[in-house]
Amino acid sequence: MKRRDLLLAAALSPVASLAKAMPNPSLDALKKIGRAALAQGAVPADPAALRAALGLHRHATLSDHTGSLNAKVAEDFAAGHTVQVDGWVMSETEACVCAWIALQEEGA
Amino acid sequence: MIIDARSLPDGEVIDADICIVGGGPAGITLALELSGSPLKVALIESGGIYYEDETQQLYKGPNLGFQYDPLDEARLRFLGGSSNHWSGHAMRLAPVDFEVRDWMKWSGWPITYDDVAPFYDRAQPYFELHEERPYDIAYWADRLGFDLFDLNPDLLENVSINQSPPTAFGYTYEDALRASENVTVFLNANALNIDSTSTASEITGIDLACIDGPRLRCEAKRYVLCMGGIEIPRLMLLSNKVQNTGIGNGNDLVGRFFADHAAIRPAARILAGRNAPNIDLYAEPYEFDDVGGMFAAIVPSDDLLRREQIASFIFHMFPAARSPGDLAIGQLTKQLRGKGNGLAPHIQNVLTDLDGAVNGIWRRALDTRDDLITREWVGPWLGFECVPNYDSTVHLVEETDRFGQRQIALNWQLTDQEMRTVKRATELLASEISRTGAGRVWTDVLSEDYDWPSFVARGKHHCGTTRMSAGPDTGVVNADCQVHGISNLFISSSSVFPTNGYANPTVTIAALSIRMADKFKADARAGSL
Ligand SMILES: Cc1cc2nc3c(=O)[nH]c(=O)nc-3n(C[C@H](O)[C@H](O)[C@H](O)COP(=O)(O)OP(=O)(O)OC[C@H]3O[C@@H](n4cnc5c(N)ncnc54)[C@H](O)[C@@H]3O)c2cc1C
Repeated sequence: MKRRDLLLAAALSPVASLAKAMPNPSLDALKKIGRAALAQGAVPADPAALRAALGLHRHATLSDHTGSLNAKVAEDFAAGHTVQVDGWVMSETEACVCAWIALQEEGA
Repeated sequence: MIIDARSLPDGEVIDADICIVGGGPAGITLALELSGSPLKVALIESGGIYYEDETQQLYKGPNLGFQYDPLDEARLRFLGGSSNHWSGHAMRLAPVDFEVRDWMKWSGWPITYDDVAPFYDRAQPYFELHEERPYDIAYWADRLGFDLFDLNPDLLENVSINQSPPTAFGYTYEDALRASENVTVFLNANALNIDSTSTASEITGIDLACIDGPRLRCEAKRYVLCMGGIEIPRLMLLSNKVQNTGIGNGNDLVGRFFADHAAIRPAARILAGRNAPNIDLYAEPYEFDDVGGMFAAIVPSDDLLRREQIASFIFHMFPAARSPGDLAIGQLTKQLRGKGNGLAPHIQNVLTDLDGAVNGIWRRALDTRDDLITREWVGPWLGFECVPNYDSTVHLVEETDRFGQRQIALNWQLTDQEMRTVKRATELLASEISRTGAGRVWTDVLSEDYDWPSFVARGKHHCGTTRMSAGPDTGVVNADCQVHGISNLFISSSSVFPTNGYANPTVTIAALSIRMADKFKADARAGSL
């Protein structure tokens, strides 16, 4: 696995220990979720807006924000800020993280 | 005493202080509460001790509205009434259910929870239920060593449902009725007509008939209709000799506002997470040795219902494998097998709990893969309150029964509000389950194009058709369950419930019967019966 993927994965705890128990450790799943969330219009499609939604500073990576994202996920659920992706109820932050990863991969 | 009315001579007039029509939980509780008092009580029951097909046929009537059970299957017509096939789930209404909610037209009872509370306590033994803090779920979960969902009490709460054995009132109380010196049960006697004075302000007698048997009449000081929420309006509408719209129906409200509890089974699928409690106490009743038992469910907090424009609801957290009639399972399975857009397996793998630490994700992932595979699915059933709806009715139709009496039709109507309740309830549960790490939730209920499934379960709780109200312009009976404007006609039934919350109705029906018995005894003592 690429170091970059590992770092990304490490950043993904806010998305519920993301990647935990994936049969083949890969970020593909996250990207797929992200793309689906984008396609549904459940999250902003614009990277800048996504960054803002996630509260990411200009040069920061997801892993810099793990603690705050975790808290944001819990806050989302407490406040009912959820979206449905293919029937699954996700927090808006979770969906944004996945979308952000998807866009990153696409070189956005 | 129990008498077969078919053995009486034709034309016999049964004389009593109190004439109770209908020997289900409402009528039997009332009769037993009056047993031992100086009042002479006649309990008129259409059926016998056992089920008979020709009597049951009298319950036939068409369904014209939203999906419903055939009316001759949705209730039973012999001693004990529908308690001969009920499930025995016993619950109390919540304080908020009695309150006026501004957004919910026609909401609000003319009495409060506190007015009923003491009678709830006294109703408990009739259902063979435990009496020690029966609805204190935290106390019992702790005492029995079960965990509960850790919910935000401002939104959702765990509640206790008491599980009656279930008590079949005819079978259980036959001996007590037989032994009573002042209560006489007349079996196989069908009430066909209520007679009143020419001003319809007082009842003078009720005409009775046995199948292929004598015609009789009961004359009493007071009359109480206890035939259930469909048959009570039927008899009132049929009794139209003086008031041509039916007795007590001067304002065209008898038979309106039919409401029941409907249910989506299941409304979601939960992949249980690491923080999920063992759901045993939710899945099936914990049984006590000498009385019934109890189990847990999830309901809205009173404050949520006061804050939001949402009717009441209840989630039964059943293991998915035990959820029959499960449309969503099929859809989910299809998705999990990759026939959808292929996304579900990834989400299933990914969104499993919220407690992962940053370091070592991959390592843990590999170590605990088996864990995930063995995780349980929960398929919460969502029961919900239907708001009072003027156009949801039972009404007479041209078809007749063997006595030539017009049948009653059910035209149950749901509104957009019920769909809003279903969606919001599901959204709240999904958020709370996810927030607490109890699991991840999949549902089709929240999709924009969601419509009522082909099977929406019904509680067979027939409410609202003779609703209780402060005045005659908004209901049929007053706070004492006396028909507005008729001095000696009373009703005990879920038909008097103006709204019905999430709770199954029968304990409340019994509580109202006990309250009525107290009033009758007090009135008799005061010489004002
Ligand atoms: C399948 C099923 C499951 C249920 N489960 C639950 C549950 O778990 N919890 C709960 O709280 N409730 C439950 N209910 C509802 C519960 O059964 C009713 O609330 C309860 O039986 C109502 O009692 P009642 O005495 O008002 O009416 P009924 O039980 O309907 O009794 C009416 C009586 O009147 C008699 N009668 C009818 N017409 C006439 C007439 N013209 N003349 C003389 N007698 C007449 C009938 O023969 C009957 O004995 C369930 C109902 C069904 C059908």
